[in-house]
Amino acid sequence: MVRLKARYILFDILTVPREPLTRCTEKELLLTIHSTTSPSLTQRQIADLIRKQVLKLFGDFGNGVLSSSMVVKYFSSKTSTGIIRCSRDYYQMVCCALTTITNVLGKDVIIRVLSVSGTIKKCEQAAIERNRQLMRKLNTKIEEDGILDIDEDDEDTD
Amino acid sequence: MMIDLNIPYTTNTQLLRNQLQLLATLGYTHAAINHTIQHSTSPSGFVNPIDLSLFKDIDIKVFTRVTIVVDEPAQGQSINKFVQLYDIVAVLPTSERALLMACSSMEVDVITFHYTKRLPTFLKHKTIGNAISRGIHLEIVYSALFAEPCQFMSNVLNVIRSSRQQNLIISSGASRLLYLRSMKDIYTVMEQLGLKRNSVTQCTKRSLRVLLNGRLRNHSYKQTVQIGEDVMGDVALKRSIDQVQHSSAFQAHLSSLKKLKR
Repeated sequence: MVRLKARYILFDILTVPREPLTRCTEKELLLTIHSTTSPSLTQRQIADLIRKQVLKLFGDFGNGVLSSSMVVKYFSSKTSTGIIRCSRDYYQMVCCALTTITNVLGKDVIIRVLSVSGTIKKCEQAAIERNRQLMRKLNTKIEEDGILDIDEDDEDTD
Repeated sequence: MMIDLNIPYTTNTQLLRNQLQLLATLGYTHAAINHTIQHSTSPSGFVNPIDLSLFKDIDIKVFTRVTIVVDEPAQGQSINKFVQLYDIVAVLPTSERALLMACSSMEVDVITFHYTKRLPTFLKHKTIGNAISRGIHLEIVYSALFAEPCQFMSNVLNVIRSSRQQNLIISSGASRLLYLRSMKDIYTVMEQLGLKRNSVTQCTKRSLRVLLNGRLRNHSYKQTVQIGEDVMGDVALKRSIDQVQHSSAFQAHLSSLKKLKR
């Protein structure tokens, strides 16, 4: 039997402040845009959001070809990162839809496509590598500033 | 390396700082702040209002650009004065005659359009080809994609068709933080609009070329030679040939050459 060819899209949601930040350092901005999305944002809601956007951009054709193949495989509201699985022939439509979304649950957002790959394992590795780099960047920034003013919210464990 | 040649200038410094910082976070390395003026603006006593020293601490190289809105080319002022004040000079024609003149005789780097409105005229390959053969680049401003998607797409198709996918550059023109995107994301959208992948990835290189050309115009000897300093750096100054020959970098280079000869 012929395998179904798929693409896995790794994306993250950056929350954009409505009003420009008054104290705009690199650390401050990184903390703001990587802030957690609301925990009520479920995988199903994201899938609905993308479907709506695809319908807006590509009409019934886009919605039709993607409806059976597109699934949100993973989403974590803590890191605002997620993985979508969709058909290989039409993955660019999903990328376009993600790029043009500007509003999620009433918040201004930029959705960024981080990587596209053929297996979910590579996507996971890319996500882990990405988060590691971000943490390294934030840690060096904190050392440079000499201040530790990140809110400690490690109490609640998953 | 990612370049954004169009961040609209506002008097709101806070917003500009935020935009540049966000660009740096998204991975951009160079940006240009765009000041839009009318063609009828009198050049006497005109100063560049963009103060680059405000953005020193941000990890991105910032340049200045002017966009001249041309409606009736006969009534406008000479643009030579503006050319000296800014790194990049762009022109925004709003009528057919202005477009013709911009393509055929104006000394500019970039031609741009209002992507939220209808184009001034149907773009012919003959007109646009004239500009391309003179080394002028055509700009696609993607922030219109979020404001007026339909108009944006039809205009972009027009530009792509008439330019035969040559000399296109892509920039944001974002007046809000929300409209900034990573270049990779925009490339995907452009591919959907029919731009070839090869041509899309060339856009960044072309933007860099525009920046380099503009920078060399005011900071080099006869637009070709600049010795001892990074022309993209902010310390580069216009020099005479005597100054260059007596500079320490030039002398050091000369002595190392002499050593090699021995």
